[in-house]
Amino acid sequence: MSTLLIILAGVVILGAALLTVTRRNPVRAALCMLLALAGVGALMLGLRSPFLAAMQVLLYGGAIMVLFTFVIMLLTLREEEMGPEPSDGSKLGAACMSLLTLSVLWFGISRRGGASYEAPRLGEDFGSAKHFATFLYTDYVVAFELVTVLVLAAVAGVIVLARAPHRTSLERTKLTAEHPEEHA
Amino acid sequence: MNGLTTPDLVQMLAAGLFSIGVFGVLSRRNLLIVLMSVEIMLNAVNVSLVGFSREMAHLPQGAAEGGQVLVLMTMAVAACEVALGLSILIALFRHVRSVDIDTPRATLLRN
Repeated sequence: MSTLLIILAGVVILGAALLTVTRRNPVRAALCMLLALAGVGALMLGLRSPFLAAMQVLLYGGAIMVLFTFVIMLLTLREEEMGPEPSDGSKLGAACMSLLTLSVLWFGISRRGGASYEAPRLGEDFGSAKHFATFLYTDYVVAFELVTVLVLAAVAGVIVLARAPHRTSLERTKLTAEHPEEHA
Repeated sequence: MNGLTTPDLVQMLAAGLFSIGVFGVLSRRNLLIVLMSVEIMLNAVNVSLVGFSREMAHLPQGAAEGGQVLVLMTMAVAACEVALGLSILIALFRHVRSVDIDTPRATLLRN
């Protein structure tokens, strides 16, 4: 049952991820990626991590993909603003590099042995929010606090980057002279 | 397929997902898709970590939960990274009117 779910989710994830990296239209790529992320959520459910599955859907499907879609809609890219299609040579090179990565990882995975999910005493609450929080707020509380600092730094960085470009007073005077009704 | 257990299947799925992300980062020129490919790579690592955590679920307290906490940390880092990456993208788009990473005016920082 669990293996079947994992195989099914794997097919969906790999297919959707392949579509994501090959679509030209960014909206279609974002929708395919949403499917891939939902598949990862289902996979996490199959691996007995319901809390992480919920976080996957909330954080990735909810927050990150909405941000992507928002930016895509905000920019409304025209064809020439997306740049030309990558050349066949660069696609071939990228495919070679990714196959090399895959073969190295595959080699490592195939050489390890003895892994199984036949846990003799797997607690009923393994992966639940309560069990998870017990560890997050005791053993890993320092990491948790450090992540809050990271989020604060990211917020500050985004505000600095998103601010309108600073105009000198001379440019502002010029703009006011050209379009007096807008800058009144 | 002889001797291929479910845990190995999950790890190979993670490896495949990571390779797809590598392909996207290296081949595409649209900065939006490049950022999405980076997200796919981060997700592949999450899949791998959840798989390892599930393998170690029978070990004494705290061996498997560390992996799950690490996944949550990765998600938080990914969210920060996307927010910053997309605001850099918008700032770049304001200057050069393009999201092509090889457009001549966008490569000024490289050399």
